Amino acid sequence: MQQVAAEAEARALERKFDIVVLVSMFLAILSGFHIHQMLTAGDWSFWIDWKDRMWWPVVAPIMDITFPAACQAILWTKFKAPIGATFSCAGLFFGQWMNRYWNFWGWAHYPLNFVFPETLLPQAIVLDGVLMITNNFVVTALIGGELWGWLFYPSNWPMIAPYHVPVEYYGQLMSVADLIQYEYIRTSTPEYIRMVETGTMRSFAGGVLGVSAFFSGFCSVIMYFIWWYFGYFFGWTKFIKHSKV
Amino acid sequence: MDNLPLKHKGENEVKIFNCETGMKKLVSIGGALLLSGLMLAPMSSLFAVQGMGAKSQEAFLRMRTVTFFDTRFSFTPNNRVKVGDEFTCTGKVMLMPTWPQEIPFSGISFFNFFVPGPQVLRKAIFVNEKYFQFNSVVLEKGGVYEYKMINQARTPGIWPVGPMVSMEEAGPFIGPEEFLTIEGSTAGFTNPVKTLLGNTIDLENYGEGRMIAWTLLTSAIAVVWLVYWCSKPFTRRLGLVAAGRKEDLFSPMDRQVCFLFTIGTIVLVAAAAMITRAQYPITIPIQETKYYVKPLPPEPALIQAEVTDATYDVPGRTLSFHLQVKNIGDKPVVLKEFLTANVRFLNPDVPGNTWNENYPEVNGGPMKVTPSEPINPGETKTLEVSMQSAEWENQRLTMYHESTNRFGGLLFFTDTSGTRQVFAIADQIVIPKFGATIGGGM
Repeated sequence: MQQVAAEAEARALERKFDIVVLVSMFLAILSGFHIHQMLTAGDWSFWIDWKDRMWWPVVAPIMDITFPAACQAILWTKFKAPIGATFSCAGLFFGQWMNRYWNFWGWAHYPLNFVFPETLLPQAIVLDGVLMITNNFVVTALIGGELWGWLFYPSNWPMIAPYHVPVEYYGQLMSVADLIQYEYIRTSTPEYIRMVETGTMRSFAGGVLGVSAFFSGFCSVIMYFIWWYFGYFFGWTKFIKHSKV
Repeated sequence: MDNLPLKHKGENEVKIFNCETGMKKLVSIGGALLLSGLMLAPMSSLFAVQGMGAKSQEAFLRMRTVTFFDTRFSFTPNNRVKVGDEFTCTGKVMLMPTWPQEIPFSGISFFNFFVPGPQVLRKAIFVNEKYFQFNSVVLEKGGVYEYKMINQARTPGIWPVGPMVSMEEAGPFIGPEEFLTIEGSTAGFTNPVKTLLGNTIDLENYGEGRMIAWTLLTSAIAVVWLVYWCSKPFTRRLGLVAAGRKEDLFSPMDRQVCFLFTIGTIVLVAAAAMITRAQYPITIPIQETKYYVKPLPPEPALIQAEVTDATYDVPGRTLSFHLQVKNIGDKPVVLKEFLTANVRFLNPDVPGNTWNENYPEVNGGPMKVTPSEPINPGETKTLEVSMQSAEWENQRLTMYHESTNRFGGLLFFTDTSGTRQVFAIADQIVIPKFGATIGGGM
């Protein structure tokens, strides 16, 4: 009887310890990933008028597969937990929403439809799933990395499509996203700073999106490898034999 | 130490400083003050109105690149509007003909209305009347451009506002500013726009419901995935993996769940994208281009002028220069004003040339012109222009401690019929006069 009670207590303690570990990890990854994402692909994430067909699907996935790959390297090789990508992307998404809600909307008064973040969660689930199914990080890089790049735009299209509806304004043709950025002033971000598609390429089925997605997938594969090894290196553990303690 | 009495009854009070207690008090008071400061700091914006920081830019940049003149705000003199009210800002800018080599000149520019964020809506900016500036425009050195900015008040508060021109590679050039009070409430404020598909949308919240729904759906799937795995014991997996018992960690159901989530997510994304495509069959990409705007035609030439030398008297805060002027018009001409970096110096000897409180620029004070008589047609005169003003220091326009000692600005000449000519001093070296000898000798 006492042994049963002790085991229950041990399990409860273990669960509490799990929660402490998971919450700490979540916050640490959130802050690191969020800073990394803001520094490398921030404007494409901040503003609706930067979410174009050429640069956004290239820059964002390539810069955002980094932490998921590193987290997978740790959580898969050390814990066999297929949640590295989803865990890190959920952290990023939470951090982004806190930033957009409190800072951009609450403090600076930008409307949320101007500043909402992209979602990486569908791709992250697929990346985790591919890793678990294949149990091989090379195959995950090749298949999961490509899917990561390809799925990015369709994962976000349901949110951004309304902002590509055309508007005529003072004789100019604009998308709704263009008009939002025009009216809602970004004081220190003049229009020419935008890095968006210019001079539409017609070589591949009339648009640049397919090329961007393919290139994004290709680069994501490479980035996955690099950041997997970062994660593997920084997740290195050393077990000490009991007799030496 | 603890046993030592702090007070002795009937005697003079003697306080003995307890080091440990004292430090604790000091830390707690200091911590409380620091915390209060941190908490109150964001609120300081409620009562401490700040400008746009033009003074932080170097003097030569503000004096020799882009000069704003004839700036007018429609809300003066009250400087008050209500949420939803439209107001305008009009004026002209000159891109100085001799651009400083220290600053790149790309010409790719964007007329902007500065305000700390979207507290006003930028409804339209027209350049030279007919050009509606949406994308960036290409401007040229020496060109004068007229602008009209139409804005709509959106957020209550007191905001510094004004015109600015940003140039690629060079940065923002800030025009004169006013503090605008926006009254009222944002409740019920809408920003309707009619699309080319015929429907009217409100830009304040257009598409938000759809965006939030998709965000919540994808987040919910991710949370379920995470909860599924995190509900199992987590930390012990580290030991089991290290012990080589990896296969014990997965059940057949785990693999089925994984397969379901992976394929299900791909199918969901594909289906959602296709449904969205059906819902929005007509879309266009982000619009991006740049176009050239011709400057205004030059004003009639009244004079030819040249600055021969300039000095800045440091203790006297006086900028002086000699100006050789030839009247090439058919009427007498006077020098009415000098304008640089949004500071205006008016010549009081010109009748009616007095400061108007509605001017958004800074009043630099009087400009002394010697001789003060008009320059007759065909006559050439050398004028000594002198401006003593604390604003040289206040506006941080002194250069004697910087690496570039050249100033610029606009001189406004006018003849007896009221015709005006704007003459740019674009690149004039200025020698500082430090007054008494202070140190530095052998």
